[in-house]
Amino acid sequence: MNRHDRRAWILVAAALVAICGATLVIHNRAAVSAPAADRLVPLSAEVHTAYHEFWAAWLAASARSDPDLPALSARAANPYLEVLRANLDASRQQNRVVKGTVGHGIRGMYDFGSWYRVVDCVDVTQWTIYDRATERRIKQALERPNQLGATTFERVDGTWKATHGQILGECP
Amino acid sequence: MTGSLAACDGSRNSVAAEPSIGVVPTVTSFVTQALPLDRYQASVEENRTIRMAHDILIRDCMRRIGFSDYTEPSAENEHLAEKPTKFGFLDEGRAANAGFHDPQAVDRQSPAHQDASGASDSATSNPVEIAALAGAAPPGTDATAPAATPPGGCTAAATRLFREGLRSDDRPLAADLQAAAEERTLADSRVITATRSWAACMRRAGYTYRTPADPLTEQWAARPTPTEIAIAKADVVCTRETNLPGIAVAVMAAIQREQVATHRAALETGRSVIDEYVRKARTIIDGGSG
Repeated sequence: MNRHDRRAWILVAAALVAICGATLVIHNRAAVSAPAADRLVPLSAEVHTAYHEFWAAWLAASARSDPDLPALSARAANPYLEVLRANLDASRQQNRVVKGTVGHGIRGMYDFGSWYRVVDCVDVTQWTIYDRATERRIKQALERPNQLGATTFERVDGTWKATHGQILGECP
Repeated sequence: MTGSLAACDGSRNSVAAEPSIGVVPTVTSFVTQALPLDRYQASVEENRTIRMAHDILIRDCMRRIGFSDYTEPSAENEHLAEKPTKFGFLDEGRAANAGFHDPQAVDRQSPAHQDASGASDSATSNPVEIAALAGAAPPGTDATAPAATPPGGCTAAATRLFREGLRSDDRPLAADLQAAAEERTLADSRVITATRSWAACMRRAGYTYRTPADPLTEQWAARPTPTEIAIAKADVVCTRETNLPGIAVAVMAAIQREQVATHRAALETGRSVIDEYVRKARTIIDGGSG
């Protein structure tokens, strides 16, 4: 076993013993508490449409590992588009595609006036990885089959597009 | 930039009233900030001492069960680099090189960290040794630990041995108070105002974020993209421009001063538990029995 692995295992154990450090510790928990004046509201018709069209484009691009799928750039913009394309490119290099469907448990959206953030409990258990060449399903461990995600929508070139994706944690 | 901010008179008597914070410092580093609860938590050096002792106990266990060449890892200092936080990002160099990623994680993905076969060095790990350390085969292997491996592996055995005769530190009060202070800081009106200024600054730079916490939960690519780096650099600029860290630190320090005054006796007890841990760790390091 090399030094990195050993260190990783031992750090896990050491965490049981060690006590938090003395400098300013800023917890990086997913928190949307500050400023905390907002509340979730039902999706407007245009945001509802934009959200589902974005997911349709993302599923189609993932099924082909195609970073250049026009539908994707029609429904997403930077910085998110750049991230999605990088992920698709990585999948393509690994000869993998992701097929199937996702379940949505939309919790609502935050309305910031000129932009919106949709909060959705996404079920990815039916969205699975396949070998691109053989189309064989690749075994995968799903640590969190349900993820609470937040997707930001902004109007870009006259169209509502997904511009940020966040993972907020497990679905409550 | 310095300034003075005072609590609202109307909320002075409330339990959760916003505290007076006096002069707001200009904070240029999060890691060098001293706060009132620090004294009641283990320092970086104390944590390192405890970790070293624990590593020695693991080493002794591994050698007893047959891994005669097992050596404990060198005790590296805790990584105290500036990180992006809920109160902004202060490291321009890190932002320019790694965006919001952990620079060490980015380095590990670089070609220099891969062997000739293209696999990263983590692929060379010995599953039997991992099983002996952890008490269970690593995922995806059927490795079996030696029969003499203690329950939970040598790591768990070392923890049990270290804790023998010591008081529990499972729920250190100082850590709970620190978390509560952070929550109150995030909800403080002065911090909220500064956070809004930060968001407005980011907006002017072309990026839509509500708080510095947003990029921390954002889905980034495996390696930092040019846009991520540009956003991280803008975060540093806006963090400095608004002095959000200074306001947050001033508020958090004021809250922690209140907490220390209220819980001083219990905090001192917690401090004495840490001292016990450190004393035992030094005994182990000096060659005494665990």
